[in-house]
Amino acid sequence: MSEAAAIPAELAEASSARLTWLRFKRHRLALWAAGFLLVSYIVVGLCEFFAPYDPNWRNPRAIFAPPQEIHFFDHEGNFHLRPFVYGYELNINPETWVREYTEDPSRRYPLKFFSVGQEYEFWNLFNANLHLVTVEDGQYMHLFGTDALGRDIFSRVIYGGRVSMSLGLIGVVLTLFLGILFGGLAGYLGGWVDSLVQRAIEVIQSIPTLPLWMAMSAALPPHWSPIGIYFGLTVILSFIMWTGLAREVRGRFLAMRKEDFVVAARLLGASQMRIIFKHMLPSFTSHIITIATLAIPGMILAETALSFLGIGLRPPVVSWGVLLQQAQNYQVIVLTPWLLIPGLFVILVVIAFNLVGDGMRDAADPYGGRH
Amino acid sequence: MTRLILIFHLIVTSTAYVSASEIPTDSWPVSWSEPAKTASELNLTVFRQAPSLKARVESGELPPLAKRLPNDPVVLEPFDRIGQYGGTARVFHSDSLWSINSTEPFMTIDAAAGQILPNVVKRWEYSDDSKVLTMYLRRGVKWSDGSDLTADDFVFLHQHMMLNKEITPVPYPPWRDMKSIKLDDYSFRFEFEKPSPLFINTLGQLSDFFIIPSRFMRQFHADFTDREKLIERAREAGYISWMAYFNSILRWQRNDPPLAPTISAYQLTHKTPTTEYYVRNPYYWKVDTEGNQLPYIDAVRADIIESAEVMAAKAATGQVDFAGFPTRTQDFPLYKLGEKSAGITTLQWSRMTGSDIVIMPNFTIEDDRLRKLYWDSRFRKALSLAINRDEMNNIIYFGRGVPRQVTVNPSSVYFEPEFARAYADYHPERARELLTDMGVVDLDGDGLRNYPDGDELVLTVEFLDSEGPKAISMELVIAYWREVGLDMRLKLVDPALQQSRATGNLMQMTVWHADRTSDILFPIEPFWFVPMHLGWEEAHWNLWVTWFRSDGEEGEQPPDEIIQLREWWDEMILTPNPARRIELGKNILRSNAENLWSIGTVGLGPQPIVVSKRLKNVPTQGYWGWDNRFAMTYHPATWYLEQ
Amino acid sequence: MANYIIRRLLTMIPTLLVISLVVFILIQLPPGDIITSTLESMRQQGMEASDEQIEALKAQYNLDKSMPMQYLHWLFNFVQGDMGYSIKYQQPVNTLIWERMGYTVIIAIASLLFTWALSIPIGIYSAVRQYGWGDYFFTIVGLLGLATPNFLLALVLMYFGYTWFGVSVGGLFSPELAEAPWSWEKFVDLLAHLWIPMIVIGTAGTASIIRILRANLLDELSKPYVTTARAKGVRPIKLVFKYPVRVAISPFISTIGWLLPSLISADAIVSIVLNLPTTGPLMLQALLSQDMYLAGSFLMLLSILTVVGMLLSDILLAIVDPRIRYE
Repeated sequence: MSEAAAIPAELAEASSARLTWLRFKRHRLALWAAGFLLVSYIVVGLCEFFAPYDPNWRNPRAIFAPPQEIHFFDHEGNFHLRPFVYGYELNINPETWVREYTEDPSRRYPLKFFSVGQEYEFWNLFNANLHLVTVEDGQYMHLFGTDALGRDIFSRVIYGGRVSMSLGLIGVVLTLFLGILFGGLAGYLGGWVDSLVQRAIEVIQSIPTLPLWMAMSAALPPHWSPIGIYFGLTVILSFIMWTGLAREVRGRFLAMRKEDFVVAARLLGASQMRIIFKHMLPSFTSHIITIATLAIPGMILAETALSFLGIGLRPPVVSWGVLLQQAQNYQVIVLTPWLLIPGLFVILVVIAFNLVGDGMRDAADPYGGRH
Repeated sequence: MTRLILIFHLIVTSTAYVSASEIPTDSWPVSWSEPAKTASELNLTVFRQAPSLKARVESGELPPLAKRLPNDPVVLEPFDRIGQYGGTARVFHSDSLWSINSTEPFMTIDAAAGQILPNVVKRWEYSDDSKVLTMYLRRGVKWSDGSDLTADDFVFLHQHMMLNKEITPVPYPPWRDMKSIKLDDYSFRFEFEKPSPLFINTLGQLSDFFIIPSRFMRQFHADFTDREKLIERAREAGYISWMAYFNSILRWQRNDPPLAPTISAYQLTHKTPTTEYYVRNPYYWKVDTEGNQLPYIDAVRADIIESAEVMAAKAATGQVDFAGFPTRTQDFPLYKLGEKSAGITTLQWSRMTGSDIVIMPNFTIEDDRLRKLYWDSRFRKALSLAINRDEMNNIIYFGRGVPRQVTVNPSSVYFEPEFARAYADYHPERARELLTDMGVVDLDGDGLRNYPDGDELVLTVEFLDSEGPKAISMELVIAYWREVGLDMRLKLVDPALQQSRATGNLMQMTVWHADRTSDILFPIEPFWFVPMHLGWEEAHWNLWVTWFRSDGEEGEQPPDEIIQLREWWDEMILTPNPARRIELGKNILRSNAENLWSIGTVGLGPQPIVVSKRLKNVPTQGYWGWDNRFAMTYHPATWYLEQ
Repeated sequence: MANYIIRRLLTMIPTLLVISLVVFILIQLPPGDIITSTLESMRQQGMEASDEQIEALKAQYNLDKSMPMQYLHWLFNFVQGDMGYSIKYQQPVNTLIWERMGYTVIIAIASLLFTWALSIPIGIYSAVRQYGWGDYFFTIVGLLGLATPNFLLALVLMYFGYTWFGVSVGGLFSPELAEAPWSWEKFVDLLAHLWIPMIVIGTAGTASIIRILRANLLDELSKPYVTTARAKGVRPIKLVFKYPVRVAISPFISTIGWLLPSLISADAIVSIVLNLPTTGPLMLQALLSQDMYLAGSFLMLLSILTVVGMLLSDILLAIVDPRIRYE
């Protein structure tokens, strides 16, 4: 437990960022979670490439089709180096009215990697048709199955991720901006500004979040374009979320105003701006980042909740909330559970953000790492 | 590849003709297609009552059965067998007035939903010019509070509600232009300005609460009681006006008494936020073929549920005895699964809709550019030709519906096959050509068409998602429209908003289900084909309707084609000559086939009717729809719970 | 103490006033709300006679007055306990709300208790065994509750509740008992239905409480008195429970205040899925039909509930920790 003895020479000279990183690394789960999030953002960032299909493309031959299995061995037991899926054979059971899909061994669809498939417009910039994995024209591949209209859930999860995960990110940037601005002003200036901001925070925090969101998003004009609704929602979510951050920032500023290094800077004639941005903010950046990280999953969940209530994003926009809204159906749970796969990704991403946030908090905490 | 398509096509073609649109009449007891017999005609002299009522008679709370039944009660033949008394049936509140507790109109409808049969009105006569309709009542029918049903209760609706400026600020035809005259306690007469040979259709299908317990309701009507005191009472009860108070009592919209008495099989006693409670009407005036007073079931409990998923779950797990109104076609597999695990039976009834979706562009919307677009028949034809109805039938209806244009049902005398085929094929190329022809092309290269002047063309379709697979159908429809380059958006609205926005002429386009396509309702309510109605079903041509209603004083003068349409209909409801009527009806329908005033998708689809194992006597087949008042014609009073 | 409470009560008033202003602005925001479209609908159908009705409706909502006057009328009526009239339900809002408020509170309290019962042991365990597998495991369990969208969890639990335990789907009582007077049997029936919303709402808040407790406890465990006690050979269990846990738990009281809004939010969603007779579904209905006055009344009422909750937790805190009173 003796600390002085335990610190190796290299640590004694390490920068504070490096120290934080070293501490963060000790939270193994957080490390994995960070890796997972990184990969997720890459995938949704390049979703046109990673998704085999357009999210609204329908395969009329596969309504409520279950996920296809990826095979290496065919029905005769022969090994194929290139993995493949089998085409479906559809039979509507006249007794149960259930669409029953079986693998048709005569139709083997080999997967093609880095290959040409459905054409898409990348980030609305240029047209391309390269996909990570696809099948021949006229064949199909639904790794997560399809929905009521025959749309590929795998592709929809990826495209939906782009909307939901970016919504969280943009929302948090806005939250950060508002939180630091108001929290900083209140904490640094004090006086009536402080009281005003404090009251505002109190008011916003006293209104139950979801009903407030509901009321605000019901007020979004219905004729807005999907993009407009998207940004409208982001603003609404941030409007409520900034208060927590502002409180934190204010507290820090208040405490720090009297710290030696701030007093010293002021005496040396540094401008207020310089004091705030050069001296005060950096000293608790890691805390801000932690709070921000923990706010993102809240936004993602809020989006799903609003979409579920039918007052969030709407088709043809594909978000995880929209996907879950269509899956929140009793029949889905009983007969077509693969429609719930988007929910799995919501859970994974939310947990990952929380773990990363926890890891960062521990890492930024000067008392951390005692045990 | 080709094999797959082949298999797929086999399935499509093999199921497409297995539609249950026409039900053979021998699916029901013969007596359900004839005027109901009475006890004396069947030599029934001994009557019995439910044990629960017997106890109340013995305690002196109720008069004996003989005093409660009419002299000559109506006899209903049960579907399968004589039932057992007792039990509480469980239903959803949305089913409560359409299924087990269906209400009693003036006249009723036969099981095949094609003709009008006697009910409380036992006999009627038209004068030769069809201007006077004289009706004779069954004697001795009583309200559930024991008072007598008389002709007063039949003229009250017209005299004190339809013509009362406070209850009905704007009286509408035919009620506006007629007289009602009580002849004696058991007969009365309606006198019309113009011949009205089809008024019996209105009376046979009339929705609930149109026979008014006048003696009871007078105490809540300003014409019969102290106005100031009545308003005071209404205020105290929390209503903004005495009319609101009056209506809520009459239409059972209150949680507690006072609630109007009824002549139906069940009376609402009270409501909580979650449940409605009904008990049997001890004065019900129908008996079974062995003289047992109906209904068999003692009470009905209706769960008030908003969530469609909870309803689906409850129906599929056998927690209600009957579900028909909120059950969804897409959920057939779920209910079929419940047959194994929850002991329910899922019957396939036939939806009485010429099309489950009727798409109505608003021809009198405020926006001039949009009007111009809608009025161009090429636009409407393009909308219709872009829809892949076969695919919709497979995806939504398991291939068991009938892809068709909106028009009357095949069993109708007004039907021609070409009406159903008009522009109902899938021709996306042709649709694109038509739009391009109009100058509606993609000018800014975003893949979506613009107005001819270059502005973004975005349309919002607003609708209420209930009764039939509207949401999923419209999701497909806008996907098809997007494929031909039209940017349409969907917005689901709440019932209250549908009501106010549709009648307020605020919707760009709305969707309803095309019921009123049987011979009962098409002639009198051709909502989808002729501008004659304002209501939540339509945001179609409101200003034209107002113009016709106000004899050209309000609203807007419609184009000549529309005036012609309306003239056909005006003559159609006047003419006593059936051949001429059919000719005019066909003119109207032909006009729709040529001009597509309304656009349809798939009709005559299967309706899942979920019945618990213990509920008996429910027919295995039936027509489900507004035209025949859902289960009304299948005599729910004869259904029983096996004890 | 009395002074402190009075001071807190007085600061509540401006807060509530500002909330009411925010709510009123929200009411006015949406285009095409039910009153506007009802007016439009009357105008379309109406000729001479309905003018009166239009005027009546306008007068009812004070639409003929200026915006600030409308606000004052609304506020004045609200304070008097008159929350207006629901166009959709054709009933006074008061009747609609009060028959549902009780269940909202019952579910919120049950969920709160459940949250504590779950999170306190886990929080203690994770702090004592920081970075152990148990810490990871319980952290993830806690996070699962937070991460699963409430409506999804509710729907899935509804399914399993029926297939495994035969609990009737939806509602808070078995239909047979809904009307019965209170009895032991009815109480048990309530519990049998309550566990689903309780779990769904409760688990959503667990993760954050675990996190707070764990952090507080870690702070406490690193203090010199703990080290001293450990050095003196106090048994580990006793060591943790004797002081650190007590100290770490005291901030919990303040969580009542801020948990309440999130409980009410979660309750709204779960009630919609499970068809519970609480205020949530009614508020959603009001919003969907753009019956904004009803929605506004709800928002206002729920906010008051929250503010009062915060007040209560502050008072409790002041009782436990006298220093706060003089801050």
